[in-house]
Amino acid sequence: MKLKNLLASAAIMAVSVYATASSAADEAAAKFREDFLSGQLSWSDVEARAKTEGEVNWFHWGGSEKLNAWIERNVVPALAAKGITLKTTRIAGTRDAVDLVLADKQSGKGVGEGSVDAIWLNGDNFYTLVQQDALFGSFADKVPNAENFFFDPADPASQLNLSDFGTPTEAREMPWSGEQYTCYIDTNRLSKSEAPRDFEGLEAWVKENPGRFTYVKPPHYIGNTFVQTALYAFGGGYEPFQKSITEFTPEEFAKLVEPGFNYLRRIEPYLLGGEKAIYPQNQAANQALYNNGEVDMACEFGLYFVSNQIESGAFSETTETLAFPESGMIKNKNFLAIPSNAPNPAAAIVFANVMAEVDLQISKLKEIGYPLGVDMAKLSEDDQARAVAAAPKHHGVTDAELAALAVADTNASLVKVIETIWGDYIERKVEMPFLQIVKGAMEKAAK
Amino acid sequence: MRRLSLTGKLLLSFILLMIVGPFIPLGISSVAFRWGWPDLLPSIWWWEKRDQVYTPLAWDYILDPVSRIIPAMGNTLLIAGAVTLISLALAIPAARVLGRQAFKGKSVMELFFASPLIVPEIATGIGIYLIFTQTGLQGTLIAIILSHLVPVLPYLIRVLTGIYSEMDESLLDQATLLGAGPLQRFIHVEFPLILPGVMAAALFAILISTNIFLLTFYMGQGQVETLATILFSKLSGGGSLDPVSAGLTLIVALPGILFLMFTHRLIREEVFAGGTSRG
Repeated sequence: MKLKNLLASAAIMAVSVYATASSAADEAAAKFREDFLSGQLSWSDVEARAKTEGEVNWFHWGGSEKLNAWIERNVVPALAAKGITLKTTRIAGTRDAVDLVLADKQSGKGVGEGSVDAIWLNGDNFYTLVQQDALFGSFADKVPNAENFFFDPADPASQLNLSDFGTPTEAREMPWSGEQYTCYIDTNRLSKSEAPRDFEGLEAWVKENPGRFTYVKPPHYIGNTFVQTALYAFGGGYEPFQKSITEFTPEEFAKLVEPGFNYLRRIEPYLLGGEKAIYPQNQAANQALYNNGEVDMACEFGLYFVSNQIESGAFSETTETLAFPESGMIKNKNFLAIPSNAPNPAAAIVFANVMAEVDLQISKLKEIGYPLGVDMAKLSEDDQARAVAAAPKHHGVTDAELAALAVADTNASLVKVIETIWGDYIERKVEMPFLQIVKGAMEKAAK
Repeated sequence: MRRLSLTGKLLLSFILLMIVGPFIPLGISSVAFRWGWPDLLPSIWWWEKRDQVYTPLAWDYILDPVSRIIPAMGNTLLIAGAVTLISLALAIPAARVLGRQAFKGKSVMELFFASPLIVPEIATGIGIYLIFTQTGLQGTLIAIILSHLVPVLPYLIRVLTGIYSEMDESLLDQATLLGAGPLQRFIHVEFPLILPGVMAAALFAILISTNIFLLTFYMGQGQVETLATILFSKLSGGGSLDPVSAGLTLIVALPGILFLMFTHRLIREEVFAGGTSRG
């Protein structure tokens, strides 16, 4: 009996010691967060705290050997110089990291207590963290390398930094890289002159060459983006798609997207597989179709995608990028976000700052072909020249052509609705008036 | 050795081809740089390009610390080893009773032990995960090892039950008559008798454990890397088999092959061959 009592009190003591210790750590981190966000800390204070934290846990998509090797060779030493050990977790989908942050948050872990310090993300995943109030705060405009970005809302050049798929970033994530939706062709099979330049051209071409094209299946973001591009082309460009879904009535939205969806339905019988159209599940499956000669043209994100693929041997030397469609190619940035329960918040901020350094950005562009996340016009003339020289060679297009066609991404709140409509109208071919389908999709998204 | 008839030879080469065949494209792919349709063999090989590009290619990447394959291999073997030992410790007593004794409700018991084979892994996985998050075990090696016991145990119990039911009980009685205590009897007589079965069971345990992705990923919260999780995240992109995935697949097959090489004589002679001749 005595022993049992002893054990019980020991257990209570252990729990209370643990609780005070953890809440103390919590308080220090919470105070750091408050002080940093209100601008009371100098940069050297932040670096000093980062050094005591000693490590940063970065979750990033780990499917690219090039990227993994580049991080190991460049980012790890850059952070080691600041006394921080970079621990990376290579995830198959960014969603996994977001889920982990939210699970930690649900079990009551606050700042200083979670398991994720930084996530490489954009769009939907950022939107989720915003909605769940799971972000550290507006840090990106308060670090020294913020000078490499346009953050002034009055300046239109800031658009890509301030808006992530239509969600205001409010500097809660640091721009790290950029991308543009491009299509590519094998000039051995499809000559440049015959290749489509816009969606009407694509329709005419697939009708003559049935089965030689397909696109990634929504709700995969690569597929969503193709659908959005088509909707832009038939819905008056990108501007109407910058608004949030709450600003539309179902009738307005149906009117906006119906021509685009009708187009997608019209071309479906001429896609790969014909009557039973085959939509690949992701970009890798799409690349395999292209590589195996089953389709002659494919689309995905990647300004330097073709050069990277040729360089790594994945694609033939005759692959070229296509400036398609002339109605506008979606361009966006991707970011580094710090969750609200980051275990090492100061180290995470130092990490984000290091990632925005010009030298590291140029090395990323040169070695692995990931476009600059920093804004070119903010760099010194010297750095601009170095960046231009570092850029991988384009195949079949010029930078100017691609830049001229770049348009903004769709508002994240519309993306969910659009993918639901695609599922009902294109994939399942629900027997309902289009307006009904739109209404259903908007109701589903509102839940 | 007895000479094989022509059909026997054909059958043998067919079986060999079925076993070795899938490894051929994997082997070639793992040393290719560009192998696209319609080329029968790679048009550019890995060694032609390995000095020209920034990123380590194919085997260079796999063997480079950046790929983290060596620590993942360590985790895989550690997990498999622990799973094997624990599951043997659990399966031997169970099989001993099931194989040698008849009792009421035995068939229900056998069905119960086999139930993990019937219930889908994802269903058990979610349940186990919920328990682990309550106890704070999630994300640890221990959680992974415990979860692997679920799909491994049914196989071990089956294999060992077979061994025990074939065991000549009189040998044990002789040992008792000669004055051996229960422990002595187990160590010096019973264990050597079941050893080939234990080896076969261990092979099962290692093969199953090294190949489990879902439970490993759940219990490790995606943060404990094993060969299976690395391969899965590599292949889950879908589509093409690049040189690194191909090389990785070959490596994943390694633990099982190695164990088989070390123990094949014992298993072949004592269990499979012996078992068929006895039967």
